[in-house]
Amino acid sequence: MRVLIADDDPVLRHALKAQLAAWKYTSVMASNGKHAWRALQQTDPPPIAVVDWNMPGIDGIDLCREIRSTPSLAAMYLILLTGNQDQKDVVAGLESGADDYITKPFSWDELRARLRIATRIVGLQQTLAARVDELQEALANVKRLSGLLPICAYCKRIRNNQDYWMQVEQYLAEHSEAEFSHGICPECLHTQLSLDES
Amino acid sequence: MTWTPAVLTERLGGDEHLVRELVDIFLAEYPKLLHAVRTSASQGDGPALRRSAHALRGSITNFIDDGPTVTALALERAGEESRLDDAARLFIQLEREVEELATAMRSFHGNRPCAS
Repeated sequence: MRVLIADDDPVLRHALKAQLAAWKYTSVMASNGKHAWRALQQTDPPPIAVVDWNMPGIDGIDLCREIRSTPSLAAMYLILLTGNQDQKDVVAGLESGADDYITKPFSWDELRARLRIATRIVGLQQTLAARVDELQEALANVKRLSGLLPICAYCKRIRNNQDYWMQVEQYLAEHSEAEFSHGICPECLHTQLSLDES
Repeated sequence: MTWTPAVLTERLGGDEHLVRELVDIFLAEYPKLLHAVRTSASQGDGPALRRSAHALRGSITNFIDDGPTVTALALERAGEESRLDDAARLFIQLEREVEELATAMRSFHGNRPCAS
């Protein structure tokens, strides 16, 4: 799993890169908000980001807002990293669009546990998105029969979009998954036999 | 204030090589961070003092929770609240504490383990 790290502190950036590698994550590094935003414009951006609040240029709060307002990035899992420990800061951080919030100094075990949660959520989202795609594909393959159909009151033919009057079974076969096998009902059998005898 | 490399090494899963790399980076970076705090404090620029003290505190926090971390936070708040009279006194204290930390780091750095 790839993780974007955005922090202007070179010491922490190096430590994060080394620790994430030890935990089998691949890091994409950014030293400020502007570089992070540029990294997210690439095709297939990382699905998880650990973002420092205080960075020069675009700060972590603005970066979270930008990510959330961009449809292609809206599903990213965002962990905001900050030295601000006040409750109002935690609320402001989460309201900016962050999914989680870690205050410095943090425990590496805590970060690892929170990354596991992020990985699980991202995995569930990806499974769900794949399932929705499958269902949409299946739905596109199902022929739909709905709406108001113009039918002749006498011969029961149906008029198609090309103004052509079709046999009802032909119309249904073209607009649904139904197939027809031909037979004769007892009433029609009786009528036909009477006609034949006369 | 006591910096104990063994605590950081343990927190980083016993990776002493990584601790030495982090110390290298800090020793290269802290003079710039300290200079930014000194400049903003001497110019009486509250917002710049808050930002620069915050950046220095973030870097120090990677190694130690007390001493210069606490003083940097006090400077950060002084900048935020524009209490610039306190800034000069706090900066002198911060500079001394950061240099003590750097000295301890250089001592640790010079004490490399023997190659096996």
